[in-house]
Amino acid sequence: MGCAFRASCLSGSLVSPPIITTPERRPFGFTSLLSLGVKPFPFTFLARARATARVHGLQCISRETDNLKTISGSPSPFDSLFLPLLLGNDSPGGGDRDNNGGKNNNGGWNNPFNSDGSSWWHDDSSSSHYPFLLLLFCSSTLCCLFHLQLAKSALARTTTSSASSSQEESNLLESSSVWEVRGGKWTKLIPDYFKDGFIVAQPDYGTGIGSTQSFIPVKLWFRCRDLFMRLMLPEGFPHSVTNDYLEYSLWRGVQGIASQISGVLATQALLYAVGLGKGAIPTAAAINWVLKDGIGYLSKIMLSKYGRHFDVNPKGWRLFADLLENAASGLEMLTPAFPHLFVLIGAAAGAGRSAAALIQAATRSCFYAGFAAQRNFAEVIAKGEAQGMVSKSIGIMLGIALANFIGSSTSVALASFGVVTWIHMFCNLKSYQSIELRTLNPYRASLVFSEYLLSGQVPPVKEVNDVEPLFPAVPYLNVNSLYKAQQVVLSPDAKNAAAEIECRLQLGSKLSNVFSSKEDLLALFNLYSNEGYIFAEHQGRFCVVLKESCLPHDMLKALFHVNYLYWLEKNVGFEATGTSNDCRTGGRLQISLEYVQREFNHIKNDGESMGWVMDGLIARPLPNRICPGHMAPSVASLT
Amino acid sequence: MNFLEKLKMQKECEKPPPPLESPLFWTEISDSVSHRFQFGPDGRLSVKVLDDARPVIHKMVDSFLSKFFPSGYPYSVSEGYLRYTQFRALQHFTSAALSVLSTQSLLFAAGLRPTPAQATAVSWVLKDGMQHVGKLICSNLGARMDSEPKSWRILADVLYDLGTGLEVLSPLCPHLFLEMAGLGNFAKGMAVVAARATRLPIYSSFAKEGNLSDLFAKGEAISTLFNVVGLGAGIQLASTVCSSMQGKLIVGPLLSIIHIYSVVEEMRAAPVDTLNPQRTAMIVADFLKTGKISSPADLRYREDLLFTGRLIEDAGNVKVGRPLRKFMKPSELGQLKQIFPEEKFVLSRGNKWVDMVLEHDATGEDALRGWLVAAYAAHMGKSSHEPRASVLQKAYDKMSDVYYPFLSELRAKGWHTDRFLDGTGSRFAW
Repeated sequence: MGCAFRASCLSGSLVSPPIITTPERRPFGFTSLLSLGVKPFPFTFLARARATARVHGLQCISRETDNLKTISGSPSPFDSLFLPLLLGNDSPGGGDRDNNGGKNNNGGWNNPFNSDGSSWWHDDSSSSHYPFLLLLFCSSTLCCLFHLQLAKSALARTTTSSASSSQEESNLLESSSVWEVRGGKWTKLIPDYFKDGFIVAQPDYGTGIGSTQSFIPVKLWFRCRDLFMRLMLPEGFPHSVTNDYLEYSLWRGVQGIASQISGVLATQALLYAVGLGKGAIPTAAAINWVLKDGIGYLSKIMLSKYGRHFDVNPKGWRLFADLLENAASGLEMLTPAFPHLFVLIGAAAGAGRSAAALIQAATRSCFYAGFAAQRNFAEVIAKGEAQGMVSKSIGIMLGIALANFIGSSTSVALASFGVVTWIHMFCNLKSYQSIELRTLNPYRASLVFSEYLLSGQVPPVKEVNDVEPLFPAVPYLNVNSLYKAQQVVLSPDAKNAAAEIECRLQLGSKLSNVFSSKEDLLALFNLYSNEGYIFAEHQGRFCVVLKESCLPHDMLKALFHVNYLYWLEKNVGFEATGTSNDCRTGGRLQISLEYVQREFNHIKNDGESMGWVMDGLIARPLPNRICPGHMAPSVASLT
Repeated sequence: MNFLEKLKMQKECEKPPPPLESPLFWTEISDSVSHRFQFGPDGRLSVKVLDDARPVIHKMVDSFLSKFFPSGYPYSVSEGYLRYTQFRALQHFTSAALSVLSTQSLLFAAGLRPTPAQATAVSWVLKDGMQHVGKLICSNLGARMDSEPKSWRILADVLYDLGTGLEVLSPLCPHLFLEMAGLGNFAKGMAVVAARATRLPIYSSFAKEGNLSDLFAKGEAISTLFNVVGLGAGIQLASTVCSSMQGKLIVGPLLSIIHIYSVVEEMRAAPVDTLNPQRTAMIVADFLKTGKISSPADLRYREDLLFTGRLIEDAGNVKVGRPLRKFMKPSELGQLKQIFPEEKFVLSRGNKWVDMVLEHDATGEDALRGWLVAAYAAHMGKSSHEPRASVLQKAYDKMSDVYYPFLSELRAKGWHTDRFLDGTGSRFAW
């Protein structure tokens, strides 16, 4: 067993030296690498140590990973590093708590980097002078990060399961012990009846490992793992966040690395374009400041106008921002080819970059607010910062190494930039697809409502998020990410209905545009006297007029009304006969309003039980509100 | 509104009141301009622009301002947003001006013309290295920030000013340049994480219509604008008054004081609507004293941002989240648990205060129940000298009577009762 440990340590140390020693030429790269290269690798190294310890020491089933794979039943292509950690899950009583956290983790790992991880590990230690070596090196480090993160995910589950299982055990054995919970940390207190006080039980890390030889490294590993998890994951991790958090964070990590690399490449290209070699940092800083910040400020202010769009469709805007960021990097890459256009290109790139930064910051808040299952916003964000820091550091390191290698050759730079950009965009796409937004925007609400009207059931959050197009405004840009199995859940009728309703819906219309005669207006006022909105169909558009007292909740109700009317139109063939006719008893507006008033609370409860946030509609109404004559306007002007 | 009344009178004079329940005029508010629509006697629609007597300059200012306010401004945000924004602008202005001064000092202390290699190495180690350490430390404290976002935000800005201050002072001791600048960046790194992390809890208390991103984007626009202005002012200062060290020592603290003051005001304006120990205690105290329930906006100016763990006597001097082993004996725990076997809290009376410990999955509602019981028990304990268990039992009965109306009123006022944010306070599990 000791041999096994030594071997794994050796393999770990075989990996790390080339990472630190590759760029020995430039002082710029060297200082940063020294301080950065140290950080993430102990974890993989420890992961290996831990893995072998488990395989050889505890399980005693077989030394071959193939067997382990069949035991755990997981078909993932990862090597021994990941699987033994999963096996730790099989402790009795731990299964129940895993289900919510573990669902996403085994799912869609169809990324391109993990195809043949182990062979790359050995490649990069062999030599260091071939042009594509750095690319391999970069991807192998990505690989390594994946291992690291996955190990983390597995560990997260092992800890919780072991916590719960040992808790249950303790319930059986000694019913008098009490747990002290502080954040995500459980401390066992043992009552000492002799002194009438509590004693803190020593956390027994190595339960089940009888051998004393493996005890110290295992304990060390547990310590490091605890530290790492405390630094990188929100407190009370699997329960304090929603279950899509982990997958999202993993993809974010990889995309952070890729984006840093392309950032470094772009800066270098920019510097070459002004005719500076390495080391002209003060000038570069000045240029950067003027271009990036100065122009960027302007573009930020211009773009903030679209704030409400970000709320309604955060994923699409976020992806657009990433495209913008990459386009900006691409422009900077092109500057050496057109040195005479330097200022122009640099300014455009600066504007793009800071616009992207604005959208990213704004939409990030939206995503994080969704993840914080226990209103632990600050915690989720703070941990997001820590994760971003790690992936940024790795990215900068790799980027500097790559930049040193490429030198001034534009073609190689462009080629590697293309590859990195592709990785970046792919990871972004995956990370946004993994997010499950629980709030309702017009599209999601229409889909939920029409599915409810068609089948009587509220669809689950994940399915609706999967079919929602990222760019509703530009249909042909949407990436077709539908899986065959999911189309069973959501009927195509409901999807068509949602798309059409979103097109025809106009929230916050002007009342003066909606009706054509005095009678219509009177009928509308009377019909909707108790509602916060007025809904009428006008020239094929679903116009919702908002009263001054309208709350987000009323907007949701209005949308349900719209959906029901659409359903009547499609399935019953109830055609419009003029507004005032429709408002009479037996007219379709009146009938549908009655139905909505009766049924809205039902669907609200059903939706909440499926995990939707049914408090209100997140929409971008036009800025018109009305105040019927018998009420005085309360807030009239801006200042 | 004189004009309106006149119109109404006119209308009433001209035609007999129509046989209709609802009157036939309405006001439409679009982009902060009110239009009044009305059917004339001939059945035609007439439109009047109401009270838009603003001069052209005002109109221009308004349309400019609307770029910096969330869409649907007065309706889509909670109370206090305007004040928050004003002080935020001031805060960014002063902080940007301050940063120019510190950068100047820093360059000065480093000898103004460092060799490129040195500059990169030093700046990397300083800026990123120390900042990363600071970030990492601060990102560990996220749970506390959720409980007290306002205090942490203020702390973040104090830390930031400390960091800046160290940089400003660095020319005074050139031999300690590395240490000073490193420490400064360390503080700044912590400040950055704390500021970013607390932004969302605060913004989410403003977002009434789920318009979080919009608020964020508009906030960014405001801070950008004022940062630019502040940078300009800072550069001006740096080349005139602050070119000498004495000038800097006067202007620097001044700017810093304005900066901190505006952050404090900014935070006090934000109506945070989640339950943490202090706010829960204040709600309970108000309820017991006046029978009314305060809204988040009522409480915001009364919160103590410095001593967040203070005891409130009217709410029963309750302390939450002390480690169980510090004050509880095993024999006692069993007894206390038997008084309210179904509840998720345990109350234990100490000399000066009552300790409340919550079960690990207790919600904000459980905390409120416990707090109410403790407060009632404290009130009753003063007047009568019954044994403790019976006092508690009476207090519990009283709490059960008022609890449901209390809770629904609380929700109606906009409080989120699903979570009790006690930061890193201890809880227990069986």
